[in-house]
Amino acid sequence: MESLVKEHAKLLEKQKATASLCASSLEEMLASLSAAKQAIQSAAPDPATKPSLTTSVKRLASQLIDCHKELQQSVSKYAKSVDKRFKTVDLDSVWEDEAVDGKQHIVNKIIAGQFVREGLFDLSEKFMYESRSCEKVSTDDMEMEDNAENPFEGLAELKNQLIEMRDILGEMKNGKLEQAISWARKHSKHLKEKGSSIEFLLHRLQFIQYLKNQDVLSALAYSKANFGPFQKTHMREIQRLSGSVIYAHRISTSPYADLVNPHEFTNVQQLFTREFCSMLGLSTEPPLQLAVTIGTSALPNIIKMATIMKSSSGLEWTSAGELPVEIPLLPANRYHSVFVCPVSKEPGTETNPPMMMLCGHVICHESLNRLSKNSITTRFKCPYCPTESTAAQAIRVHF
Amino acid sequence: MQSLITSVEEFAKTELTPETAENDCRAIDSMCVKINSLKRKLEVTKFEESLYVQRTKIRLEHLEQLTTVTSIDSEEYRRWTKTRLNRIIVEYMLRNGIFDSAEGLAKEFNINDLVDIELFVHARTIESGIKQRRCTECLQWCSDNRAGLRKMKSTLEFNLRLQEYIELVRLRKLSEAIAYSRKYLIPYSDTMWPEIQQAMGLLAFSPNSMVYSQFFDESRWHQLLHQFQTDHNMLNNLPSEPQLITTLQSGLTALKTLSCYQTEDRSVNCPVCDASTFGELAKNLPNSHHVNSCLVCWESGSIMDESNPCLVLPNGYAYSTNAIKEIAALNGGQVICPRTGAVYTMDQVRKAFIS
Repeated sequence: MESLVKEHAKLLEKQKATASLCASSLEEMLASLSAAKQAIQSAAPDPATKPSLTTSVKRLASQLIDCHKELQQSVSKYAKSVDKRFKTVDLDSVWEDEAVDGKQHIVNKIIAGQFVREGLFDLSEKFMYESRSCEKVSTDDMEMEDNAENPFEGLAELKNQLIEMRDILGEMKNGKLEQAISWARKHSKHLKEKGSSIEFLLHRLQFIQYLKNQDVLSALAYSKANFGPFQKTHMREIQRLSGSVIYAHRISTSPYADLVNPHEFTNVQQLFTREFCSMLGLSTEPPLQLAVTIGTSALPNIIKMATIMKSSSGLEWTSAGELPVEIPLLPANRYHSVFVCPVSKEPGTETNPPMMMLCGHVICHESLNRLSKNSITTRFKCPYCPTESTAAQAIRVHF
Repeated sequence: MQSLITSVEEFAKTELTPETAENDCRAIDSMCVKINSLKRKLEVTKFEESLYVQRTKIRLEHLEQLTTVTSIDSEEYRRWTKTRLNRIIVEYMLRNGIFDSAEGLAKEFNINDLVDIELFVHARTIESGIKQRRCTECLQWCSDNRAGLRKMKSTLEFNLRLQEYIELVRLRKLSEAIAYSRKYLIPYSDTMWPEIQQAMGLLAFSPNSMVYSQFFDESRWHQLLHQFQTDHNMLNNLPSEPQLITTLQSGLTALKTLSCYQTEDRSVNCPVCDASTFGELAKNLPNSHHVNSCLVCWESGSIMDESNPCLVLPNGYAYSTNAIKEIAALNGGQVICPRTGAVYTMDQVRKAFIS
């Protein structure tokens, strides 16, 4: 990556040099031309005017052309190094029409929902309006009945729930944290149960703001008033904040410079949005963001799989009922129980549910039948421990 | 540039005499005019050049930021993925002609330099020209990008010329059509000779005849549109479909399980469980594959592993140890199943072993 950055810096310099050389050469040419004109118009023309003019113009022109050639070389060199560094991936190989065909209005609804989740109500309105008019335009070749059903229904309800959040976020953008802090205080009990530190982080941000304005007294007063309840949980951070007061007049060059990093603000805003949504019973992460993040990290695997499947069996990867390879997910992104029978390696389904035997080991129904030879009275040994039991003693487990 | 040099050389060849002084002055003036126009053109080009170089720098910096992220769970990573998400959404909007919202989004998150709005706006004007049966804008684009298109061996320019010729024939302006074909179609005679021959045959038939009906068909305009879009994407190294859809598909299939479509197992955090939106999209996608069991407690949402083992009630419903302890604490030692309401005591609860 660093070599790319260096190459690019070289390219930038080259381009700037070429641009200035262009301008200066042309100016020189104009100057020499007008000088020659004056010389000709004067009473005693000098025979050497013309040849000297010719040589100077030719020289400047060739200089210009050479400079451009070098720039061209730089550009192609940079392009080559970009290609080398980043593998070209053919995204077309994973494109599957049928999955999303004709469902564009759903995608638009999802995008509009994403904007509402962020509190960007105006943008979502604009988008909804534009997407509907674009849909009408693109299908005007065929007859389209004016769809009376609003494809964005359900979003109005979401908006109502999030109006408060939008207002608070608007205030935060202008640097005012009072509304956010009062919200956090109102829900402090719930937040503490969930183990969230948003309340403390908001107080911390307010403290840092006082510091940025070099208002040390207010900062100290604020910390005295508000940091008390967080002594047990955030003592180290409180200590650090108290120490930073010494550098209030030059915080950005002190060891505490990271406190005034503008990203700190964005981080707290993000966390606040998430906490607000989960307090309302909505999903913690906006669903589109989650799906796209997971999708991007899953893409390399899927591309490899799609190419292998196509070359070996000629099938598209979406025609399979289940993916043939596992896509690793973070534990935080596991939202459903997945039971895989340790004996047959098959997933548990409605028709083949997981069954727990007397000893506590769980296998799937079909494996159980195979072990007990399909009768409910035969005693069999569990594959994992020497306990004997019968099929009748096994119960179906609901995860 | 070249013409300037030649005119200077010609000028130098003439002798310097008082009679020709006026001519010389005029020649010098014309050269000045040429230089000035070159200067203007160069200024525009240089401006564009520096804009693009700046843009590549910002994009490179954006990518470099990812290398400084330490963990996937950090806010920095979240912020970076958010920027990427917005970039992809802007691209999706641009491809579908939703320009105002795209600009609004780019301004809101300051990502103007990470996306190519002008490129798509320009493409849209060309497309609307074709939709209105006009080839002019597209031909201009072809001449601007001739080198790249030639490398791709694109037949777009020839097809556009052919279409204009067909339109002339349709209106029965035959002499104009012939002149047009001489000027524009003959240059392609070594590569596209069969098509040119067929085009010549059009002159003999009226537009409503059965023969050659494929040439007069309106669908040729659709094909032209499609060809322009494909060539435009290939020239600019863009995939043929929006990146948003491709990424969304792979994400949904990675998350999709059988439980997503069963009402009692719906999770508020799982996107696929939302039947009206993502669930609908994911219907035709394959389920995710897992080699090992991974159990998630219905009550608390936490993963059940050795530190938080799975406990099964006599009615078959399973929960994590922590969840059952909490329920017991709230209900004075009794365990009430959250899904069925059945009441049990702590010693009726059995531990399950999942390997």
